[in-house]
Amino acid sequence: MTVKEIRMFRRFVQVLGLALLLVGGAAHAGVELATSVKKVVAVLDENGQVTRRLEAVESVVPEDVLLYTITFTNAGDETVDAGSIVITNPLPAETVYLEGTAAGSGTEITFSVDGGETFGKPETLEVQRDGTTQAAQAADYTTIRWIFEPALDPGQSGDVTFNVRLK
Amino acid sequence: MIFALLFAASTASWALGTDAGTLITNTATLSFEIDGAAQPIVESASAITRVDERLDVATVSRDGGLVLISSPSRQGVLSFDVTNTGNGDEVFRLVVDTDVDEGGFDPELVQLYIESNGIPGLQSGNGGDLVYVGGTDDPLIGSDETIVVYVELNVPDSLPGADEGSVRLSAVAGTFVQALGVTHPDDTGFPVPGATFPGLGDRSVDVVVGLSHEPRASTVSAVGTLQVDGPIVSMHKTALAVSDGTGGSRVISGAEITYELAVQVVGTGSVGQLVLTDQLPPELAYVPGTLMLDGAELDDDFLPAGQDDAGFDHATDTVSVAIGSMAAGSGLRRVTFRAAVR
Repeated sequence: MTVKEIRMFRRFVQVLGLALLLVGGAAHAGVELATSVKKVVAVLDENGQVTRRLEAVESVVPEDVLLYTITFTNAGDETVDAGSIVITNPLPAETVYLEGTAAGSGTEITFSVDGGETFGKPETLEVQRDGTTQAAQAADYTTIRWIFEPALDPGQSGDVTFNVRLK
Repeated sequence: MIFALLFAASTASWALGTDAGTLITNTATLSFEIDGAAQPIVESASAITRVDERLDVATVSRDGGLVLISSPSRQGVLSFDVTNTGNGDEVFRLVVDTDVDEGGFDPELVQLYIESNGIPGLQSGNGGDLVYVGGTDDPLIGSDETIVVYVELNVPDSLPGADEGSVRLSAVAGTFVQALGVTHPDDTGFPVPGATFPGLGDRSVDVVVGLSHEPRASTVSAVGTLQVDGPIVSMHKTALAVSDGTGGSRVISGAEITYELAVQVVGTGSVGQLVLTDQLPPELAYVPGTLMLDGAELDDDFLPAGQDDAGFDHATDTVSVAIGSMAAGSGLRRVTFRAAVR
């Protein structure tokens, strides 16, 4: 091997080692997180009742209602501590949160009106409007937070959801 | 873009929609502990949703009710706001229908204008508002922007008082013209809400037709109405009969033609000092003593002055009859006379 080839081989070994290190690091204690989005479409059924169904969506137009689902899975081989999973979702700036839609079994749900600095239950949140302190509206929320109460064993998963309307 | 800048004049109160082409990105993060030890924060892949162009338009009459017209103008101008209530920029074709209401009269379209000189109301001519020609001057209206459109109309004569004539202005999205060739809301195949046009929106997103195109609740079009107010004088001249002296009715030298001038006042109110005149052409000679008003004989001499205002003026070859004041809806006054072919 020439000097140049030796250098290239050393470089290859370094990169390979780094890659193996990364794969190994992710393998044993991991929670995977995924988000998906569907459009909530109101349809009038044959009895004249409005029902809602979910549609796969690539694109939306203003006033459309979207359902976001965040799925978390313990992909590692160790149990995640009870009460330690905290999911935080800043609301996309172009959307308005729809009151009462945040859900997730086994979770405690709180909201932020200050970009995620502080969180609280809806009835405790306040904003400054027109120079006075007023109770926050759903449209004031900037961030949603779920705290998952149970422990999460390897292979287990859960999900949380919320709806927004596109501005 | 020139048009968009030109017409970005009005402030609008419509809710702004997220711009077409925007990508809505949602990302969640998760923190957790194992055996009391905080683990690295996990970030989800982002759910990305593209915002399509929702095509909506609101055409609204600016006139706040009937626009009154009165003689002698016989012209009326109706004005409309056309607001792009969609979330993308769109070119619009403006279309006017003059045959809108049953009954009433049909105004005659003279010209469409787009407010462009910053002076409220229609000004035509040099320095005036922009003359609009469909297909050539179709304005590009930015999302949430409004243009003002003036519809200049002629009004037919012989209208009863308080008669109304309406026109409808429609703003047809250029996307429809481009993709379907439809240029009028009544055209077959005019899109309804939910129709989509892949790739024709701003930044090549899809176009989705919005609820303003709901057939029964469409705001694509708006109606404005002119109403006749004040008196409008209308006069018609008719040749009632021809007598050629041989029992026939050929127009030959020496034949006498009986003319009628019929005048009426329509609309509302009345006119004063109404004088009917008719100047005879050189080929015709007035037949003395034939002037009548509503079947009653008048003499030809205008005497006594100040009391008799009817007669034939030889100096100008003109028949002249003073009617005086005449109320709208009072019916026809008929002046007849005979003239001989020279």
